[in-house]
Amino acid sequence: MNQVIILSVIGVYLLFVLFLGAVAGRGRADSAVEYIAASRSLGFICMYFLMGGAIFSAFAYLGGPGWAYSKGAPAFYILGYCALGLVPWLVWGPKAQAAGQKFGYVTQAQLFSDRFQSRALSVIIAIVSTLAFIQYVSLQMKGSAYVFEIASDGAIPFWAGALIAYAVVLIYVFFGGVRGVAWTNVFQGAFMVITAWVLGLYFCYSLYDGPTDMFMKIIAAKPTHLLVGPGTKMSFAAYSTAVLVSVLGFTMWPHLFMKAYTADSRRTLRRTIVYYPTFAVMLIPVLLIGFAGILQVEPDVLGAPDRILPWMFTNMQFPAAAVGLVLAAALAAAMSTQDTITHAAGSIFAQDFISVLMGRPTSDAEATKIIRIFVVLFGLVSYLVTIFGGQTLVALLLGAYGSIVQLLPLAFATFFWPRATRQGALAGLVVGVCYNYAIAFKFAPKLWDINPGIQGLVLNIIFLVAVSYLTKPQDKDHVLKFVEL
Amino acid sequence: MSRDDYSLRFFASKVPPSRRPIITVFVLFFIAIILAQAFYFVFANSALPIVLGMPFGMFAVVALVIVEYVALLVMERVLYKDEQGEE
Repeated sequence: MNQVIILSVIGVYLLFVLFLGAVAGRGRADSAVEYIAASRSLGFICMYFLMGGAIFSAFAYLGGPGWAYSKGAPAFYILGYCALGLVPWLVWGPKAQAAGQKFGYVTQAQLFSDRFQSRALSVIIAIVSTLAFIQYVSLQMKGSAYVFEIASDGAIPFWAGALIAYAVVLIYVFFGGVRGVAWTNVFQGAFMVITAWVLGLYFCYSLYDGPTDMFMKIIAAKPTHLLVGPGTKMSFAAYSTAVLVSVLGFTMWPHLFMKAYTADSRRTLRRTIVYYPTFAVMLIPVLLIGFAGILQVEPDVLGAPDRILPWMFTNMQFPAAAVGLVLAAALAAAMSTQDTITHAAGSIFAQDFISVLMGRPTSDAEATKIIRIFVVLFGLVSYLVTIFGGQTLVALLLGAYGSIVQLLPLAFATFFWPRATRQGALAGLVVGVCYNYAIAFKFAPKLWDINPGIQGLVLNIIFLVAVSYLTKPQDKDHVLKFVEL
Repeated sequence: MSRDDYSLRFFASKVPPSRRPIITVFVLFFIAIILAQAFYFVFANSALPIVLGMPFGMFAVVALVIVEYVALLVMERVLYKDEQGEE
C-alpha cells in the first residue's frame, strides 16, 4: 500500500510537469530561434532557475550525498565549484549574448566556427559535445532510476525507472522546446530547494542532536573522513584539479553557454551570475543528508552510494505521501537537467552537424524536425549507457568535464586574442580532447593524479598558441568584430 | 599599443580607460577566490573545530562562497550602478 501511495504521488508530479512543459510552446512561433533560444526573451527568474536547474541535478541531489557518504570531505568540491561555475561567464557571457543578438547565433559552435572560419570546427565541437552530453544525461537517468527503484521497493527495476525518466523528458522537450524547459525548471527548482533544506535539517536533528553532534560522531568513527590528502579518499592534486576543471569547464558546456543567447538583456545575464552562488548554499543540506547516512547504513547494505538519499528517506518511517513528494523532488533534480541537455544536444546536432554537413542553413521547419528526431535517438544511446555503464554519478560528470573544458581556449581566443588562427584552434582542440580520452581509457598515464581534463587543457593551450603563431593570421576586420563586442 | 595589431586585448576599445583598473581588480579577486576554493586544504584541511555546525573545512568552503557572493553584489553595484536596463 505504501508503495502505491508513493508511486501515485510521483505519478501525479510527473503528469503535472509533463503538462507544464508541453503547453509552454503553444502559441509560439515554430522557429529554431524560438525552439532553441526562446526568441531571446527569457527574464531573470526564468534564467536563474534555468541555470540553477542545470546544476541542481541528479549529480548534486543524489551524487553529492553519495560522495559525502562514501568519500567525505571531497564532496566539498561540489559547493565550491557550483558557486564559482558562472563567474567566468562574467567575462564572456555578455560578449556571447551580444554576438548572438548581432550575428544571429543560436549555438556555441556557430560562434566559434564563424570566428575561426571553419566548418570542421563546428562538426568536431558537435561530436565532442554530444559525447560529453551522453555521459551527463546518463547520470541523470541513473539518478532517476535509483529513485524509482527505491520508491517501488524494487518493483520498478533500474532499467524501467530510467526508461520512464527518458520518456517523460522526451515528451515535453519534444513539444515545448527551451521555453518548456524554462517553465518546468522554475517549478522544479523551487521544489528541490525547499525539500533539500527540510530533509537535510530533519535528518541532523532526528538521527543526532544536530549537525555538530553528527560530525563529532563521524570524526570519532572515521577520523579521516572529513579531510582530503594522503590517507583519505582523494588526493590534494585530484581535489584541486577537480575544482579547477569544473569551474573552468562549467560555462563551456554548450547547453549553458548557449543560454547566453536566451537572455533578454546583458543585465539579466549578469544578475543571473551574481545570484548564482545562492544555489551553492542550497546544496549544503544535501551534503548533510549524505553525512547523516554514514552511521545509519553500511555500504554493503546500501549498494551504490548514490542511493543514500532515497534510501535514507524510505527507511525512516515517514508518511508515504511525504516519501513520494521527496522522491519526486529527487526526480525533479534529475529531470530538470536531463531536459536542458537533451534539448541542447538536439539543437547542436541540427545546427552544428547536419546543417554544416549539408552545406546550407536548414529551414526552421527542417531544423525543428531534425532536432526532434535526434532527441529520440540521443536519449536512447544515453539510456543504454545508463543501463550498461558502472560509474558513480559524480565520476560520470567529472569524466565529461574533461572533454568539455577543452572548449575554453576557443572562447578565450575568440574574445581576447585576435592572433589565434583556424589551424591553431583545430590543433589545440583535437589534441586536448584526444589526450583527455587517452588518459580516461588508460592509453596515457594520469600524471600525479591531476584531472585528465586539466592535462589535456595544458596541451590544448600549447598547441593553440604554437600553431597559431606558425600559421597566417586571419583577416583583421573579421577577428576584431568578436574582440570588440 | 597600436589598435591594429593582433596582440591580446583584455578590453574592447569601447570600455573607458577609467573603468579598466577596477575591472582588473575584480578579475584578479575572483581568480584568487577560485584558487582559494581549489586549494582550501592549504589553510583549512581540518575537521575541527566545528563552526556553525560544519566541520572546519566545510565551513571554510562555505565562507569562501559567501565572500564570493558579497563580492559579486559589490561588483554589480560598483560597475553597473548607472545601468537602466537593456543596453
